[in-house]
Amino acid sequence: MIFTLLGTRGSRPILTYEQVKYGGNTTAFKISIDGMNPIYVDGGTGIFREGVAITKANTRGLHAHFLITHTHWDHILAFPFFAPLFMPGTKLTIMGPRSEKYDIKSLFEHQHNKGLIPIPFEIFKERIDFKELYPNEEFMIEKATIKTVELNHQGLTLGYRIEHGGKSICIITDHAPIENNHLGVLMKGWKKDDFTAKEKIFYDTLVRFVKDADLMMHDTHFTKEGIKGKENWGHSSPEMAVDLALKANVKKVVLGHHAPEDKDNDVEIKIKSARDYLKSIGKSNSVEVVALSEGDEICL
Amino acid sequence: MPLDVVFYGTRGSISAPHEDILRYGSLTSCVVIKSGDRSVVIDAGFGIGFYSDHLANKMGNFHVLISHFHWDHIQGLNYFGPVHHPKSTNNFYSPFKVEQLQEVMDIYFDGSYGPFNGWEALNSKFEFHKLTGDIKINGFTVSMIPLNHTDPCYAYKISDGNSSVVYASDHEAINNQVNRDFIDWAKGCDILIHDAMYEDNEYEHKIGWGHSTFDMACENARKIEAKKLLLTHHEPLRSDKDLDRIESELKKKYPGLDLVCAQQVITYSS
Ligand SMILES: [Zn+2]
Ligand SMILES: [Zn+2]
Ligand SMILES: [Zn+2]
Ligand SMILES: [Zn+2]
Repeated sequence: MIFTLLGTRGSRPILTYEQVKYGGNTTAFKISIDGMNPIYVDGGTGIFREGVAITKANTRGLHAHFLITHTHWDHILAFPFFAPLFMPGTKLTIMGPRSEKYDIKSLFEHQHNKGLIPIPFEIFKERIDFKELYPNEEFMIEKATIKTVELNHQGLTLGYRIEHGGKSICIITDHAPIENNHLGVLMKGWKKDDFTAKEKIFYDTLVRFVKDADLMMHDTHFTKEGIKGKENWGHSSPEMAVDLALKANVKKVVLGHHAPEDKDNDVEIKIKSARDYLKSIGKSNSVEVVALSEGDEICL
Repeated sequence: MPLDVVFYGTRGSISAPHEDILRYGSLTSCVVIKSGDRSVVIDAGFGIGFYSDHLANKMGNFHVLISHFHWDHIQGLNYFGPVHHPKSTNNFYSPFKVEQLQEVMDIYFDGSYGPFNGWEALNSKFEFHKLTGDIKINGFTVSMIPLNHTDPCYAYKISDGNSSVVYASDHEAINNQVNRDFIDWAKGCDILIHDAMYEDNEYEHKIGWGHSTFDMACENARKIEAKKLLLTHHEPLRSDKDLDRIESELKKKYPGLDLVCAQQVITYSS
């Protein structure tokens, strides 16, 4: 199983001279498994160059699955420009959560309405199958097992676990601390008296979900200091990613969803802060913490 | 006083950041026209977020002209700091019906697509203006004319005393009445900002897509007798190296034209 990082910027694409190392495209990852069509997670601007590369390499179209964490712009905005969608042989299955108002298909269709994108959605319709997903599902994509979990972020956001051949990858983005900070639409029904219990169930479920993962990509939009007072923005810090990894015996943590204002140096500060934290509690050898550049691969 | 033009977004269609496009930039459309400390912004692609990164003060009265509603001219709005500043007023102008502009904002700021609760819930004040003819905005005289694009789209002329800047993106400059009217209207401007998305061989496959070739933009500039031509709406993948090459070829081909491919953050003056 190979994990490829195509884009890991949060909120909006950006690229200044001080951001070249970690790149400026918004969220997209690829998971390649021998003998299978690719599985992508999210469709931020990171899929644009990938799409162009695919159409240069083959003319038969692309067969692939997309797992969408949630439909915030930074995670879906490149679909109308994904080159394989303009090839007749292409067949994509786009799977992900609905929003409070709309089903997943309508959310994609809306981008093309009202003269917002000069490409009629009709062209894509026969090349895309949509499937709505909810938390705590388990299903197969070809030979891989896929599991979903609820994350703490505005709307409905899903974490994914992709398993194959005894290896596993978890994608946990976008995601915020749960303590007194209930952002998800499904948490609206929580009663005040139950908060502590509900939070515990939520977090324990998440720990079980990422248990023993070989690789966990985790939202680390903020630094340990930077998140203070901004917990309700829906994002995490490196320390939170490390805590989860330690509780769940995750082997490797990939930091991501870097803030648009993060320079390369800021990302390196996050890596150092995560490693220093591990050292301070005597767990340096328990979890490996890395940040990747666009195009970097990790073979499991 | 001269008019200054600064691009914060130079790309068309989509932003695809990469280290080979650092100088010209990767962000979608946004241009700022300045005279001293007065300014107007044209279009709100991801470049408007980058402009906001350069803004020392996000409090005030801001003026944003929208050419049309394609996402590459809208998608940066949430990253324009003043929209979140409780003491800012953001004025949006277009020749379209106010309701149409609001409807686009309704989709963009829908909670489905971000941590939003509609544009009405933002901290700043939004004012929508429908343009019907020449108008004074922040001390500039602004006028407009339709362009030749896949959906309705307008060019803007910003004048200040003796200088004028024409912004014409997105526009496919074919020999039709729309383009002839545009040329007459833009005649003699000091700076012409013009869509130049394609090279000739690319255009062959993109006729009718609503964008111009470099040559079409240069021909228009020549007919308009623009004193300076700034080419923009670069194709998303076109590298710094390729834009440098194209610029020097065009300079040889059109010796009478003062032209450049627009780079981000550089100030071009009339
Ligand atoms: Zn995000
Ligand atoms: Zn999000
Ligand atoms: Zn455009
Ligand atoms: Zn357009």
